[in-house]
Order: sequence, then structure tokens, then C-alpha cells
Amino acid sequence: MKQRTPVITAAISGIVMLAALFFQPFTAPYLGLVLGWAIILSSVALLVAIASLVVTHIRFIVKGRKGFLFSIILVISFLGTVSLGWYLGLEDPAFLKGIQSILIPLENALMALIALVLMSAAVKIFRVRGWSILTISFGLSALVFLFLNLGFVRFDSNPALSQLVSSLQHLPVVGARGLLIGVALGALLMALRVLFGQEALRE
Amino acid sequence: MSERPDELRVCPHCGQENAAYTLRCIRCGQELDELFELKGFEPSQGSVEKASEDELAPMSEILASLDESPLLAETDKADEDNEEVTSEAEENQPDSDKESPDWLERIRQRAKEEEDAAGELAKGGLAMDDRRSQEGRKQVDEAFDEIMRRIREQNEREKARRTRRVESDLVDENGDPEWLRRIRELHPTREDDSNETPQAIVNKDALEDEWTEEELQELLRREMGLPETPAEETEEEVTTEVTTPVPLTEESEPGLTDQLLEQLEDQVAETEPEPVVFHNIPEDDERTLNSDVDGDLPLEEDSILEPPQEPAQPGEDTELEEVNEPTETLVEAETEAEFEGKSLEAEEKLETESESAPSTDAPLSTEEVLPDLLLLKNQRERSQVFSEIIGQEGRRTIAVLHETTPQGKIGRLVLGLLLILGVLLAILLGKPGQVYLPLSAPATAFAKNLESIAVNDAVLIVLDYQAATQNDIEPLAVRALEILEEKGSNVKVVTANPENIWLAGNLLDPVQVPDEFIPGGMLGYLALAVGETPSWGELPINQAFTDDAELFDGIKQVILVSDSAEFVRMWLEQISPWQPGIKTSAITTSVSAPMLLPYHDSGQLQGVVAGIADAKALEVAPQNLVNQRAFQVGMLLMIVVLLLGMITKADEDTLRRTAERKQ
Amino acid sequence: MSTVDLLLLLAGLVLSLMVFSYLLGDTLLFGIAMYTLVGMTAGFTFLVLLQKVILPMAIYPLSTFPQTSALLALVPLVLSLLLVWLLFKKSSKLSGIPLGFLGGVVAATLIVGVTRGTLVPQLLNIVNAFDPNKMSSAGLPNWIAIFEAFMMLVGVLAVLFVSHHRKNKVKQDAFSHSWLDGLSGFGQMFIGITFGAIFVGLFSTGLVALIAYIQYLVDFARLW
Repeated sequence: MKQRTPVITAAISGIVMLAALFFQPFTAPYLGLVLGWAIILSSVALLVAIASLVVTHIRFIVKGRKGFLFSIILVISFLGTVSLGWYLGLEDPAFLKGIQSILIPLENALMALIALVLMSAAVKIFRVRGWSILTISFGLSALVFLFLNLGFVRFDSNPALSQLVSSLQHLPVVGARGLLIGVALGALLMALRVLFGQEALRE
Repeated sequence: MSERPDELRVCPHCGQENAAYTLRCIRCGQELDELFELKGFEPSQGSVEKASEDELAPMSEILASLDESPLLAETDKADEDNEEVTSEAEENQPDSDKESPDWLERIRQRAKEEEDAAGELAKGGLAMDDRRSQEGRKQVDEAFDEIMRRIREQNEREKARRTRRVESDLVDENGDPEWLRRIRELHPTREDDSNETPQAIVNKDALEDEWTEEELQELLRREMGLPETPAEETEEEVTTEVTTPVPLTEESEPGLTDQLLEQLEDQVAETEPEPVVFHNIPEDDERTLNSDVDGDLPLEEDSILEPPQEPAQPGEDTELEEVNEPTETLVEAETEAEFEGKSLEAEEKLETESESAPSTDAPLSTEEVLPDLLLLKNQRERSQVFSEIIGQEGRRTIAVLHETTPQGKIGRLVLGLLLILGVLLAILLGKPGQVYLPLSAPATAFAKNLESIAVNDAVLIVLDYQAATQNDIEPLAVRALEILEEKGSNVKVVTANPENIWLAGNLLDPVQVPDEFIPGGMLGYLALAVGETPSWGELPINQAFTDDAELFDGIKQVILVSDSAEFVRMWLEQISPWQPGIKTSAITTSVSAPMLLPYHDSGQLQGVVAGIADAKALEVAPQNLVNQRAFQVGMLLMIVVLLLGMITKADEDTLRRTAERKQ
Repeated sequence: MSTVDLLLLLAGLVLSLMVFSYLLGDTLLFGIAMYTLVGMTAGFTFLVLLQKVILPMAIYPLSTFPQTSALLALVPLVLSLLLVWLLFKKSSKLSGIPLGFLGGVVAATLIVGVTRGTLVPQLLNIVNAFDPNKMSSAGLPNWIAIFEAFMMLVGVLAVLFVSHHRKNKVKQDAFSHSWLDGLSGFGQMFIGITFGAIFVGLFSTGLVALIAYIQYLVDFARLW
């Protein structure tokens, strides 16, 4: 019974929504209404998730759990941002500049760290995965695209060379298309299972 | 005789009490010349005479006991021969000797009696030779040899057993291993020994190694076929018999007298009223085993290694019972001789397996086989299994694909620092330069599509990127907005990503925010794409708009500025089908570009520009781009590292194959 | 530059430097930077959702009560309260209703969107490559176009076959056909090429961020 409620609700709402999408544009007002409800609910769900995160860390602080220093930092930064934004206004230039000053360097540093970590990953990848068609093609492809990004050679000077480079750049399309179709088929199957009540959402 | 304690002399070296006339200490072999000299120059004549009487007494008793022996009983002729020998000896003495002092006479007499290194038994044998006939002498010799052989066998076994005990101690010098504790439980007396000091162990071993009177009497009686006699009568016989192994060492042979032997026997009888161990034969050391005297014993030693051809002797059973081992141990010990050859192999194997065991003593030779090794082998194997299990405790049993090791962290740090250093040097030392990146077809198509936008065309710019990728996207987005502004297009900037509210200032005016925030992400875009205002009022999403909620009205082009291929794909799946008249193109990162190529190939995306590599398509100003030389340095380092990983793996495989071939 | 701006600049600089302590295996400084990022992002998102979504879409319409729009606004409000109830009782059965509703809507949009946006266009693109007009030029076969069309068809099928073949290989180890293995290997080759391009793209993006960050540090140092 516990599992049936969301499954039945999902099946009914999904079928109604599917019907509304099929019978466009006659169902456009109803579709907009239902989608508006879904937007509100998804936003509330996100708010609940954020609230749950903060409450959990406040509980960690109260209990003095190991690593509660991080919890203090999270709660302080969260409350500081909310209180300042509420007080100054969400679109206040000073508030937005303050957010930018802190978050942009932080996120840039994180992305830069990815480049550094990828350096060591490049060394390990063959040792961990071994030799296979996948890894060999991966390595060769990476080397080719790295070489193209070096910019040492002017490929546009020679039409044949340019055509070759264009063909090389087009090679990932095959694999990407296969992956996209595979992902789409998987998503389609999952959605159908939800509609037919075979996928318990709460699980 | 020497039964009185005041006649004992204490050895200055080891403190052992010795008989008054002993030349060497019976324990440490220290020469006791002083005693001898004192004895020889004893001022008191009466004491000398008394001592000589005491000295001769055991010999007479030995002779008397031998006379009673059935082996010697028939030999009247032997008596006569003995008298003849004595008279001949007296006749051969020079006259000057007749005038020599009494003490000197006694010494000569004694030296005559102890004429070879055979010791007390040989001395007894000489006395017997004087009395018995050749045939009787042969019988006595055979009986004697048999006794000697058995004593030596027992000695060898005891020695091997003791050696095993020493070796077992070597297994774990710091503590008692499990299997040793179990053995000690089976050998309570030895367990007690292990708790004593080394000196105490030596003393106790010395006492345990001595034969009791009853045992020796019984042994001699059994071998000679004599009926049981009172202890007083057999005591002297046993004394004579037991001292035979002593002359195995040539150095210790001359000092042992009958009195001393009797005294020692008395001491043993006083200190050990209860017979605990089997014999009092001194433990043979390497020197003894290799001595010339033992040169006549190879057959006896070999016989130890050979399986016995006859059932165990009653004496052996007695011996085994006195070991106080449980029945199981006894059974295995009885069969030990049958498997001594196997035990040799087992011992060698165990020694090989326990090479790592600390050794504080000389290595065991294969001849020093453990008689009851079969028992220990099983226990030792089990102990090894236990130790292996304990050793594996806490170890990981399932291989982990990615394990963070200190070496891994160091490697990551080194590679990271290498990249940082390369980029830093390129920024500081080199000029920004210019790279010749090949233009991709989607980028060219994006530029063409942008050029095709006419004046006053409405263009919707949808922002959905993170601050982390701003350096890859913003130069292109800024240039695209500049082009649109130059064309005089109507640009509307929207976003559903909260982060783009404060990031939009980098694209537009610093204080500008997106024109609209679309609630609900892709659901919001979908609601705006498919929804219509109903007759009963406004839709919920309309409440969120500050301006007109008709987002797609009049829009000719949509430019997605996103670092997520997923967002672009969702847009093409959810929005584009409902707005087929709107052309869609994307400004994205290098990461997302490969997954968006199929959509450009299928015509769903008009064009894609991805990162700094496609900046040339939009003619982005160099000052808006990152340092090109640094970019080249980074790419070059990655090529090197990738090749290094391949080479390392290939090298490892080669080494592994080589090792496998060798195996 | 005001004092506040300078403090904010220094705060961003210090926090971003803390991120690189990850290379040293440090968790304290890296954790401080990460929890600051999460806290600020969550706070800003919380504000945006509250001010840009919840209040205008769910609360403000109630002011027009008893109009229809206000009555209709009660539905998401009730469902939202059921969701909020999750904060206090995680095993609430009623909380499954709004989640089920949300799941059903998303599933329906996925079915339509995936079909119309990815499956049909991509499959049509493969099929359209065999259009006779494209495979010939001036009455002669265009071998390059023919090769590309076949390569695309076989490549996509092979990629799709890779995961299927791997599952079957695990299930029935002994059962194996050489041509199936070959097809799977063919698919793996194309997947590897795509992953290689993605890897280079990711490194390129990270490298650009690194260069920009070092440039930012250098510019900051040159200020003094």
C-alpha cells in the first residue's frame, strides 16, 4: 500500500499529461496549468531538499559530530547569503558582486583542479583499464584531438589536409549518436515503466 | 669409603662436589691436580691406608659380583689365571719398586688397573679378564657391548629429543607459540623446565640424565640374565657398568676412580630417591660424537636411523611411560623408529619452511632427527596455518580498482605542479601568441547562422552555464552578443539557472541581470512553449513574469549558452518540437561539443561553437581569450603524459610476459 | 577599490587557493572551500526559488480568492504541504502523492520529447543518408557518401550492440560468436573515439580555467 500511492498517482498523472501532449493545441490551457503545478512542486521539492540539508547540518553542530566545523561553515554561509539577499534584494548589484567575488574564483579553481587531476588520470588509465579496443581507440583519439588543439600546423592551408581534419573531427559523431540513441531508448523504457506502474518511485 | 661428605672436594671452577681422588671435575672437566698431589703426599699414613682400603673395596666387590654371575661362574681357570697374572706382576716389579713408599705402590697399582681409556668398565673388564676364561670373557664382552649399544641408543634418542626441544625454543624466542604450549601441556615436566633459568635447566638436565640405581640394576640383570637381587648387591655392579661411557672422551678418562663412581652413585641416590629419567650418561656433544673413541660406533649410530627389526624392548616401553606422554603420544612415539627416515625428510622440510625462524644455535644436522617428529609435524603445520591466518587478519581480500596510495598522491601532486609551472612560465615569459586551430563544421555553421540574422529579428539568448566554465563560454557569448547588437537584433536574455542571475553581468552590463528568470527549469520552458492563457484567468507561470509571458512570440533564433550537453539535448527534445519555426544554435564548452555533433548533423542545431577552439569562427578578440602559448604548453604536457602512460603500461606488460615465460 | 571589494577579493582568492590543497591530500582546507561554496549556492538558490517561484506562483494567486485561478492554486499548495511534511516524517504515505504526480508529468514529457527530439530525428538522419539523391552525383555513385552512410549505420548499431553483448557475455560465458565479438569491438572503437574527444574537451575546458586562474593570480600580484 505504501508503494502503491505514488505509483498510481504517477501513472494517472503521466497518462493524463501524455494525452494532453498528444491533443495539442486543444489541451494547451490545461497543459500549462498542470505544468505550472509541476513547476511549483519541483521548486518546493528543491526547497525541501535545501532545508533538509541545512537542518541536518544544524543537527550535526548541536550533537558535536565529527567534522561539525564544516557544518558550521555551511550553515553560516547559507544563512549569511539568505539574510543578505533578503535584506538587500536578490538583484542588488552589491549583493550580486559579492557573490561573484567569492564564487567565481572558487568554481574556477575547481575546474582548474579538474585539469590537474586529469593529468594523473591520463597516466593511470591504461594501467587500470589495460589494453582493449576501447582503451586503445580512446588513447589514439585523445592523442589526435590533442594534437589538433596544439595549433602547431595550419591545416587550412591545404584543402586535402583540411578535409582530413574535418573527417577526423566528424568521427565522434558515430559513437555519440549511438550513445544518444541508447540513452534515449533507456529513458523511454523507464518512462513507460513509470506510466504502467512498474517502477516504484519511492524505491 | 667416600660416602662421608667431608671427603668430597668442591671444584673451584663450577662448584661441583667431586670425590677426593678425582683428577678432573666430573662436570666441567677442570683438572683437580691439587687434589691428586695432596693425595699423593698425604702426610698421614693412616689416612692413606684407610683411603687405599676404601679404594680397593669396590673392586673387590665388583669381582665378587662378577664371580656370582652365571657368565663367570664356571671359570675356576679364570681364578687361576688371575692369580698367575698377579704373581707375574709382582715378579716383574724391580727391586727398587719394592722399596718404594706405600702410597706410590698404590698409585702404581691403580695405574696398572686403569691401563687404557676404557675407563671403569674397562677396568672392571681387566679384573674380569684376570679371572675368567677366554670364553667367559667373550660372553661378558657381548653382554657388555649389548648394554653399551642400548645405552647409546637411549642416549642418542634423549639427545635428539633434547635437541628438538631446543629447536622448538628457537621457533619463537620472544614467546611461546601455540603449538609449543600444546606440547608443554603434553609434557608437564618439560614445561616446568622451560620456566627455569638456564643454569637451573643445566643442573636439572644433569640430574635427569643420570641413571637410577634400580634402572641400572634392572638393565644389567636383564641383559646378563641374572635373577633379581637386592639393591645393595647390585648397586656396585651398576656403578661399574654405568661409568663406561665416560671414557668416550680421552681427557676425562684417567681421573675417574671406583670411589668416585660409587660416590656419584650415592649422590644420585640421595638427590633422586625416585627414578624420574632414564640414564645418567652425559650428553654427547659434537666432539664426543666425532671422537676417535666413537670411531667404533658407526654401526650403532646407523642402527638408530634404521627401523628396528624387532618389537620395542621392555626397557623402551618403560622409557616411554616415564615420558609422561598421553596415549596418543606414546603410540606415535612407539612407531617413531619406523618412520625415522620419513622424519628426516619432514624435518628438512620443516627447516626449509621455517627459514625465517630465528636461530640462536647451530643448525641441526639431518642425523639429529627428532624421534617423535611426526607428532610435532602435525602440530607445527597446524601452527603454521594458524599463523598464516592470523597474519592475514585485517588484510584486504578483494582487490580494489582504485586505491589511493601515498605514491598516487605524490604523483598527482608532481604532475599538477608540472602543469602549473608550465602554464605559469608560459604566461610570464612568453607572448600570448596565436594558434592555428582548425575550424570545425558546426562552428562555421554557427557563424553563418549568426550572419543570417536580420535586423530587428528577435533572438532569444538562454543562459545555462556555471561560473566554472565561464572562461570557455563567455568570450564566445560576448562576441555573439556584440554581433547581434551590431546587427540591431532584438535580444532577450533569459535563464532558468539561479547562478546565471549573477553571472549575466559578465555578458551584459555589469549591473544587468537576465530579462527573465524562468521558473522550473526545462518544465518552465515547456510550459511557456506549449501553454496558452486560459479563459478562466492566468496560468501559474504567468504570475512569475514581470513582463509579457509569451516568451517565444516572434522569436526567430534561439542561442543556447550552456555548458551542459544535457540541457541542449533537453531543449531540442522538449522545446524545439513545439516551436519548429525557431532556429536553434548553441554556444557551449569543449566538453559538450562531441555529444552535440549528432544534433548538428541531423539539422536540429544550426550551429555549435565550443570553447576556445572555435573562437576563430567568431573572430574573438585575442585579449578576450586566454594565453595561447600557455594553452599549447598544457596540451603538449598532456600529450607527453598520455604517451607516458601508454609506454609505462606496455613496459609493465613486457616485464610481466617475460616473468611468465621464465616461470 | 573599496575596502569591502578588497575583502571580498581576498576572500575569493584565499578560498580558491584552499581548493588546490586537494593536491596535497588535505581535506580540511578543501572542505572549508567546498562547504562555503555549497552553503552560498544553496542560500542563493533558496532565495531565488522563494522569491521567483514559490511566492509569485503559489502564494500570490491566493490573494485573488475566490477566483478560479486562486482555487486552482490551492492544489499545488496542498501538494506542496504534503512535500514539506517530508521534513518531519520521511515515511509519510501522503508525501508520495506529489512525488508521484511529479514523476508522472516528467515521464510523459520524456516520452514525447525523447521520441520527437532524439530518436526520430537521429534515426531519420541515418536512414536519410541512404537517399539515392545523396548517394549519387551526376549519375555516378558517390562512394564517399555511400561509405559514410554504411559506416554510420553499422557504427550506431555496433555501439548499441556493445552493452547488449556485454550482458549476454556475462550470462553465458561459453556462448560466443566471432562476428558478434567483432561487431562489439567495432562499437567499442567508436565509443572510444567519442570518449577520447570528450576527454580532450574536458581537459581543454579545465586548462582554460587553470590558465585564467593563474592569470588572475598574476594580475592580482602585479597590482601590488
